[in-house]
Amino acid sequence: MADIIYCEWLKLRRSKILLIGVLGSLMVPFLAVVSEVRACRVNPEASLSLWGMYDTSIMFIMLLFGPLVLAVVATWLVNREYTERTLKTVFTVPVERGRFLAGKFIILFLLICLFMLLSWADILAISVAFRLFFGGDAVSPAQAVIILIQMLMGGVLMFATLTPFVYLSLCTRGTIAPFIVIAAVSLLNVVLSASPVAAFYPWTAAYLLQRGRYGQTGCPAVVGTVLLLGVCIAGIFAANRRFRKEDIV
Amino acid sequence: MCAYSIETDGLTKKYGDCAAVNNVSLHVPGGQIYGLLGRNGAGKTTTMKLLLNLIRPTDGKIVLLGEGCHNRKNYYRIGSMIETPAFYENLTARENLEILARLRGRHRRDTIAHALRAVGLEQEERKLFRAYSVGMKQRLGLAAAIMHEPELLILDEPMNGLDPIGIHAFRSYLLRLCREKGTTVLISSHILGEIEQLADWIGYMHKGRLLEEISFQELCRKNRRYAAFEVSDVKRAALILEKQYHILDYAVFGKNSLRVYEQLDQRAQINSGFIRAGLAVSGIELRAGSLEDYFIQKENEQAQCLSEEKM
Repeated sequence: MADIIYCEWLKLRRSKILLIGVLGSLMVPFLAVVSEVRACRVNPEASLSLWGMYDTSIMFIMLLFGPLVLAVVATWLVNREYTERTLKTVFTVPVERGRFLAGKFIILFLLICLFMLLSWADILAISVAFRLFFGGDAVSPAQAVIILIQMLMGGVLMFATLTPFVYLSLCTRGTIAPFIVIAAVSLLNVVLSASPVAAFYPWTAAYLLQRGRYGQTGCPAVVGTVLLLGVCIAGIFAANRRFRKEDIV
Repeated sequence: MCAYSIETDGLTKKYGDCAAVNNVSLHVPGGQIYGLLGRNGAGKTTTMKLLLNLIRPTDGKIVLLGEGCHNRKNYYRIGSMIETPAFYENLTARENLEILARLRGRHRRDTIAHALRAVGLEQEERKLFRAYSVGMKQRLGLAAAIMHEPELLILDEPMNGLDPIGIHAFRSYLLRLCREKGTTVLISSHILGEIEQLADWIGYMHKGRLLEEISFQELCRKNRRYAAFEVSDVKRAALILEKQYHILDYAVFGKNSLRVYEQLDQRAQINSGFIRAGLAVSGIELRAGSLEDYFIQKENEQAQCLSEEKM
């Protein structure tokens, strides 16, 4: 399995999708800065803090960046094997189809963690820079570690919501249909994030769970956890079932 | 070693009502080169994909190197190239081969360098795959197929896009692999000329069916120049050929036809000999068949059979 994961990593070399993901991860905290600075201008008593930055960043990441960019990454990881017709080369090695797909899921998870780590480092760097140049609350290492753990937890929850996109890519073997679904999911995310049904919409549920606000919707957090677990397992199971019986033409 | 490296029995692949491969029973002898011939769309690639477990058969049995195709480990002993070579566009030749070697999990350190050298790509190993020409891509596909020194090579139209020198080098390499290392090669093509310089055996496919499996020697024998005699008694005619003219290279077809493959310039004398012996000779003709003619004839025979079946 380690070899499969290494190969998946090697396949990303010089790929633009990795660059897009990295740039996206680094851009989100800048969007948060803009939002925070605007808030500070409206309310002069407010100051730009690490927590404030994190709060805004994680909202952008989990409601916009995650469904948009990470779903595109998930789709691309699978779809490239069809567009570059490499499955026939790999499967005749031979590589077991289930293991190959597991490699895709693992590399997707690792990429999500990497992007989260980059966003975290970016948030931290921006907060420290603001403190140095404009003053404000001190950034403690304990805070930074807590935020990192929370962001990685967010990554795990986002991964759970992305497995259906892998299945969708396998079904359509193209990018257009998944991209339309990704756009629709992201739009619904924005629309539903403040509504009572947000608890039952997996992509907003992931955000609410990550922020510990799921209970505020009136549902216990266990419902959200079960919902996300169900989506994740259903995505993996359906993708695996589809991939195993597929003819490589 | 088993007699056949590839053996299929009633192999069938249907897409809806259309049979892409129809009841194919293939027999590829070990350590020999088997050319799978047929026009475009004859079912050669589908057959190879079935052998390589890329697509699932609707019916039939496959035995590769003495084992069923469900034994995944068996495929480590097989190298293949199906249609145009496919690799990761953003990686170099070396990186692409490294991925395959890693996935295979068992390889010598110099495997990649050796494979690239064998196909003449050692100078281009750091070039991205997307920057390769068609011929270079083809050669990289071959390098991937041979890099683990397989016992069985399955190659689908491997010479497409190669220049004449590349074709010659590749042909020599395959012959050397087969003769020196005993590698079995199944190679497909729709160009007869490519195959006739390589193959020990030929299988001819048409519309999903395997029309004939024949050794190349036998095929040549069937298609060389001969004198065709139509005589009243072939048994006596054969006796005359052997006793009077010491001719052993002849073939009998039916009750009245005889083909003589040697001493063709003596055909007038042979004719006289038959007549002297009291045989009635109703026809004598010098004929030469080409491989193309042979297979066209086979296709026509099959078309006739099918139309008779329908009636």
